[in-house]
Amino acid sequence: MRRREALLAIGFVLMPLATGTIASAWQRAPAQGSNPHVASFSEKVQSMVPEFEAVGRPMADVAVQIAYKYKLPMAIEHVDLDALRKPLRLTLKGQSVRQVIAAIVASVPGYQVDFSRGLVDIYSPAARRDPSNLLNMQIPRFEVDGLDTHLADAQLLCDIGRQLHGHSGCGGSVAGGQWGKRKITLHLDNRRVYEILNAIVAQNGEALWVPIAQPKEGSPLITGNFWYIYPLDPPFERSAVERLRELPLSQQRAP
Amino acid sequence: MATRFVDESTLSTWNSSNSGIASASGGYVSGESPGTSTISGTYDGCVGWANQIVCECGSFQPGTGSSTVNVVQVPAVLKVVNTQTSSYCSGTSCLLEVWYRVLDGSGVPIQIPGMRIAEAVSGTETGNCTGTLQDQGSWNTDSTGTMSGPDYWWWCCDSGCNATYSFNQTFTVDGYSVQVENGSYAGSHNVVTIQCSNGQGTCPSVVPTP
Repeated sequence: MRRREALLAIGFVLMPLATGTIASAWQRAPAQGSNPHVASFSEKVQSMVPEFEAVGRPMADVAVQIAYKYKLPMAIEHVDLDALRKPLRLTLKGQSVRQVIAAIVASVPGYQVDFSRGLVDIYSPAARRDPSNLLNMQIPRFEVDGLDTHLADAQLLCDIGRQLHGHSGCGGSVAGGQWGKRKITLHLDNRRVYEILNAIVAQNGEALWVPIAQPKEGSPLITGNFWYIYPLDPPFERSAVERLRELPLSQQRAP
Repeated sequence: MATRFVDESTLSTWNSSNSGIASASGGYVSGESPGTSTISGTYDGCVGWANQIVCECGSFQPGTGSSTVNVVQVPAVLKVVNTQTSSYCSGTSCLLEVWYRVLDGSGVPIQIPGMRIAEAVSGTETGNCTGTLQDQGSWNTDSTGTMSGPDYWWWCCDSGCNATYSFNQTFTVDGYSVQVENGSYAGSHNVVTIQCSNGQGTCPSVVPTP
């Protein structure tokens, strides 16, 4: 029999958040194009957590873990060294998911969380003021109709490219077929990139977007994506955490 | 008295509880297929040496030992198992769907759900227009070891855009770098080429390349 490549493991012996700015989650209208998933968002964040312990893990890891555990659509718009490395020491009892998330976010300076748009939006006000941050670019018109989530956010990258470079080509390699029948329809005017990503994730209802390292292209004329939207299916949790950790230090520091 | 150790692996008797999973001989174990097997070895002491010159040690004792081995397939190849094209970009270009299956180094499918496939793409362009590239895709596998969804390759060209785009696409599966294979083509990466001519785009050509 032909020997197969194998990994052999053998040992053989023969002889001897609590204070951040938290907008009211249920008083504002959800994002445009909301779907039934968003309707259950408020129930998810109000559900009670008998005991929660986050000890020795950084905020970004814990936030991702909560998103997957409670199937909460989430945006982590920005991470810095503290969010990625500073170990939390947090033990909570009898709190709601919303309170737990707020406490986690509040444990790292410079972050806030918003629950008002049909997703958990963890952001840095300072990063949102940074004009060099492409997530703050304003897109005059974003229109997608019935698109797969990844094709919808690819369309956003196309819009960014046109705004940066004028006429261009755009496209790429996109992971398809991960969202079932869920499609994205959005018509948005004069929104920032992060707002559009938040709207996509809120409408999807079971997704998480995080910033990722922009790939180094062979040509300066090609712009790569600098975020990624993950399904809230268990196999993707590790990918999301690992991708966050791969962010270069320059992107991890708060502006 | 100094203790001296002698390797008697080749003089021992070796056995595998499931030789279809792992075989043992001369002290070496070979993986044959995924699974678990118990490897045991027996040494009969100096008895077998009676007619030879001299026992190297007067106090060799018989003995046995065993250990469990887990044979695991390691991802080595992503093989194209299906492709499909359709019109895209309002009819000015096309969308190529590529499905891959994970194989081990012997070409045997690894039928494990939840393996993580990740890509990296870098690109260059020649021509009069720029490009924005969506990549860094993540997939997982179904119970047959096939991507749970396709890799969509597509490229839309704005009017007035005349350019050739070339991309190198590499993959990892659960962190292992893998080769790509499509029919008679195989290599460490895909070379993907797309041309824009006055706003009209070609279907992406994806070719495994050494």
